[in-house]
Order: sequence, then C-alpha cells, then structure tokens
Amino acid sequence: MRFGRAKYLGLAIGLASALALCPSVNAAEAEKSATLSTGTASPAANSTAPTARGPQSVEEVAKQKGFLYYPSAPPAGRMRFSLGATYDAIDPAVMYGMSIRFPQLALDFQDSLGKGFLFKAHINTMLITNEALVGVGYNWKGAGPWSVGGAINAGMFLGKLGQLGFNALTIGVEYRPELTVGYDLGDVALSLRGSLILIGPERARVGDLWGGFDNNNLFTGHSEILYVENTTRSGSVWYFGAGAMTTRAHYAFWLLFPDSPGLYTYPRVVAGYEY
Amino acid sequence: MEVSIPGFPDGGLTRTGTPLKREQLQTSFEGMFNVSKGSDLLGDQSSVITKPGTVSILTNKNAGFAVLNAACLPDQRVVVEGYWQYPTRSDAGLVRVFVDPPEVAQALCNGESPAPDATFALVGTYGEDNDIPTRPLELRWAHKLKEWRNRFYTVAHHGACEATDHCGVSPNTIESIRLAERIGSNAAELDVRVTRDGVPVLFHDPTLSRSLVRGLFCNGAFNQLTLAELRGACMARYGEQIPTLEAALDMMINETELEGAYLDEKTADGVLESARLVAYADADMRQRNETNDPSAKDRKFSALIGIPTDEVLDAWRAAKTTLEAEFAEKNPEREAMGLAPLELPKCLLEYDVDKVIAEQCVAWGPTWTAGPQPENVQKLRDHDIGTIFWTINESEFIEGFLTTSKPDGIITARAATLFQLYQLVGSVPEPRGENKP
Repeated sequence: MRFGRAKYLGLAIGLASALALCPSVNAAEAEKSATLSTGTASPAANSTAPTARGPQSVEEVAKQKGFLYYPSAPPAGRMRFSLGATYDAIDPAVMYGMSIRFPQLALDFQDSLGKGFLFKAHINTMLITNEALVGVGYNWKGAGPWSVGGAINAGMFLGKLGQLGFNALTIGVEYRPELTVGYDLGDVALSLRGSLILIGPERARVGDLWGGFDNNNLFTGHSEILYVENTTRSGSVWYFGAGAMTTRAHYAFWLLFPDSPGLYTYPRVVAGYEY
Repeated sequence: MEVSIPGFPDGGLTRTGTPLKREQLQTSFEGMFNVSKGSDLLGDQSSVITKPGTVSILTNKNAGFAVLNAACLPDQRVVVEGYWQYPTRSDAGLVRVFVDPPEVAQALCNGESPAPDATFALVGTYGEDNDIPTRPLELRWAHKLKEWRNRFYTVAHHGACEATDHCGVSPNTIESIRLAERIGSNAAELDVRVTRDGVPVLFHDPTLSRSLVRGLFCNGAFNQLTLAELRGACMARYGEQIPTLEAALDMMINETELEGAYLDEKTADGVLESARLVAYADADMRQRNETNDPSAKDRKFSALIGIPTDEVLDAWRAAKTTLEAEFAEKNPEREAMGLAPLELPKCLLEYDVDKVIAEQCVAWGPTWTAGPQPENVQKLRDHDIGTIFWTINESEFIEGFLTTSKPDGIITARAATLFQLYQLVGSVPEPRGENKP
C-alpha cells in the first residue's frame, strides 16, 4: 500500500466529515417522518420556507449567497467568502522521507454575475507553497435535487523558501477546469467535484540560477473530492470534504522531491466555513 | 512496485563467447561516441564507460543508460549486449551491438587492446521490453573522455536510483551500489542509522516506512530493532537484504572500482562505530597498496563521515577523541604485526562553510536548494577543500551548477545525466589533498 499511516488519517477525517453530515440528515429524516405522521409539512420539509428553529434549507441558501461547492445560482452581486483548511496525506516516498506535511490554509471568494454565472477566486497556501486561481463558472439547477456546475480557473502555482537550507523559488502557470455535480438533501448539500490540474510552463530558481524541470508535463494531475455543506440558521455554511488527489510529485511537494514523472494518488481532506 | 529488467531469452550471444578482459574494455571502448543511428534512444552523443565485466552507455536523455556485457564470439566477432533503461519511467529494452571494423574485433579476440579511433563503432540494434532488438543503433567513437576518475565525483544518491524510480533496486542496498557504479557513479552517498544493538546499517528514514521496506511485521521506529530482528522482519523494497555499513564498505572496496563513499550519518549515535569501521577499512586498503597486494591494484577508496547537523558534529568530535586514544593504544601492536596504522577518517560537513574549515574536513556538502554559491566553493578551494552538492537530479540545474560553481562532485540519482553533462560542459577539478601532485 502506498499511503501508509497517512491513509488512516485521511479516512478518519473523511469519517468525521460523514459524521458531521449525520445530524443534518437525521434532522431531515425526522422532518419527513413528522410530515408522514401528521400529514402536515414541517417548515424544513418545505425547503423554500425559512426554518424557524433549524438551519436554512439548501434551496434558500442557494438563492441567497449560494454555496462554494454545491452548484447554485444566487442573484447577481451576491458574494460568498470562505476560510478553511486543506490537508494532503502524501506518501512519504513522494515527500522524500518526510512524514509530516503541514495543513494548507484555504481562502475562497465567489461573486455571482447573475443567470448562473460566477466569478471565483481561490488561494491555497502553506506559505512555502501557494496556489492562487481566479476563474469563471456557470451553474445550472434543474428540477429536483440535482444541480450541475462547471468552471475554468487560471492562476499561479508559486513556492518560495529562503530558510532551512533553501534559497529557492518555483513558479508555474496553473489552469484548472472543474465539473461539479450537487445533490440537495434538505439542509445539507452533497457535491462531487472533479478537477483537472494543468501546470505549465514551470520554472525554478535556486540561488541566482534559473532552470526548468526534466519531467515537466502540462497534465499535472486530477482530483475528485466529495464535499458536504451544512447550512446554518444564519445562512452561513460549514463544509467538509474528502477525496483523492492524483498528481505528479512536484505538485504535491513543490520542489521536485523526487523528480519522478509518475502520478501519485493520496487522500485530501478539507474543512471550512462559508460566510 | 514490480520492475522487470529485460534479458535475452536464451541468455544472449555472450553466453557462447569469451568475456573480454578488464584492461581491454577500458582501453578500447571508453570514449564519447556520436550516435549516428538510434538517437531516439540515446540522443546525439553518449559516453561509454567500462567497469569490470560491463560496458555502459550513458546519456542525458531521460537519464538513460545501457548496461552491457562484451564477449568474443567463436567467429571472431565481438558482441556487446544487455539492456537499456530510462530509470524515471518504465521504459526499458534490449541492446545488441557488434564491434566494427572486423579487424578491431579480431584484435580484441586475440587478446589485444587497440586504442579506439574514429573508425571504431558499435553497430547493431535495440528494442523495447524483452523483444529481440530490431531498431538500428550505431555509435561511432568521437574522442576520449574528459578526465574523471579520482577527479570529478558522480556520487550516487543512496545508490543508483530514487525510491520512486523503476530501476528494480532499492536505495541503500548492495544491489543499488553495484548498479550505481555501472551507470556512471564513481562514489556513493549512503545513509547510516544504528540498530538497537549499535550496528551501523544503511537506511534512510527514522521509521520503517512502506516506501522503503516490505515485511508483515516490519513496522515502527528503525532504532527499536536489533540487527537480528531487522533481518528477520524486514527486506528492502525490492526484496534485498538491508545491509550493514561494514558489509557495504567491504563490497565497495573489494567488488567495485568505486572511489569513495559519503556516509550521511542520520543520527549522532552511529558516528563512533561508523568512524571505527572506516578507519579499519582505510588501513586495510593502505596495507594492500603498500604491500603491492594484487587484489588492491593501487586502489583508491575513501569513505567520508558526513556531518549534517551540530548534534552529529559533537558526536564526530567525541568520536575523534575516543578513536585517537584507541588507535594510540592499538597502532604499536599493529606495527609489530606489520599492519598499516589506524588513522582517523576524513569528514564532509554539509552546512557551515567556516565549520568545514575549522573541523579540517576535506569536503563541503551543501544542498543544491540554496543555489550554486560559487564564492563559497572558491573560498573552500583556497583551503584545498572540495565541494560536493546534493542532490541535483534536473539536467538544466546540473548543467548550471557544473558551469557556475565548478564543484568537485555532485550527488545525484541521475548518474548517467550527470556523467554525460560533465563530459559535455564540465571542468576537470584541480586535484586536492593527497591527490595533489
């Protein structure tokens, strides 16, 4: 097995995400039961009506600020910020013997352009490695609980370190097309997002010396992450996610340790709060 | 990870021939060759080097190499055949070439060692995987190789390849050291840790991680197992035994032509015993050279104690004090027995330039991630101290370091690339220390 112990950490956090989903699902089930037994729809079951006691419904949030992951089409000008963390449980073989990788801070911004179109900005940073993307997306919501969204993002993949024996910088242009399928569970939204990670050209500097990499490849990898977004009474959203990243080593650890051109699969877990 | 090294199904033509002698290989085959056919595989130029029993073709294209055997066939042709590989990929195949012109082949079969000239060529075919080779391959001798033995160090990073490569050998094993020599290295960097019972062993990580070992009960911290427990529970990733430092030094000295080892002391507790082993190995080598032991053949080999941290430096200082006292006691006895005296080994310090000078180490081993630092390389050169950068695998950076700071060596997992680029753009370092004329 490639992941070693890190895999168990990923599974544990994924399980935690699932548990976070459970109360909301159970709440929705309880509402459905109440509806069946009394013949009267509860506020939560009528997903367009605000819930007095519990969180707002997915449909209602979708019509206000929208979601970061669940494809939604809020009115033009509605903005959504989010602050979260990302952790990649990378194989130590890719990490060149290092068994710990620090979590990354994830910042997201979304501004609705109306009619399903969105402007998006995303930063994932571990200080020594930074990914900054901006993009446009289009979300489509059909009848029923399903929705679909697509986005094209472009930006920079940047790493810099001047300590610990490093005087190094790597910089690359990144493109990230993505497709998301969402499902409305009442006051919880499930979204599966697949992304392509394309990087190139990529250059690095050590000291005063610039150079490129032997195994540069535009196709740097892909990811498939399942997100759970829990609405709150205020309309903010907690999100959790778990899934698989499949990338080349230099994406995973920014300075080619080692320089293998192979693709490596490792778990990614994310969590955060959408304002 | 499963890796298969291609081989001729019937054992190849060399099976039916007479192997060429070591001296014939070195005198007649080594050089820079123009690749007139087969540049898809080898690029436009390739270096050919020889080791006991093998002829190796090295290219900076995908860090590729071919490891071949040469033999004189009953019909007076000389066949050179074996396998080629791109270590970072899973690409590999077979090579079979013949010495051309026929008169040179006949001379080799007659036991002569003709010097190569522009008429000397290796002509034949190469293929993919285990398929019998059919694609044309022709290498024509262009000129002599730039001086490299005992001058420029192509240092194998913990053996021949990275853990994620497809070489079929695990890092820090006897097998990877052996392969390293065949693909262009003349020294090896080896990681040293000690077992719970104090035996220095070659291993990189503090834990027995799946990326380096196999074995159902091979888990936990490395230093919690005795050597016997380690041997009982663990194998290296490709099934090799995890070697002791003593076995690795013995093998490098007696079974290879490697000129040096850089022992990367991962923990302070391994320094004393490592230094002791190196001192005995050095004394044995000197003894054999001084007594003209034919097995030594004026062999030069030096193992350096690598110092990556202040903690290890403190252990090195303590080890020097201990060993100086120990050797002062033992050397009269050894002298009486006609044995070479024990001497303190040499050191390589990885970080502070001034400490390299203060500790009287023979080399500085900075990480490449801080850049070429030509002013520091020159400062140490002024003190007759060499510089060996670790670990550069990218060809553009290898070329940049070779031309910017002109080091004495580079640690790499891409030995073929480094060797070829040194030949193409490198400068021959001035000899240092005891090598200085």
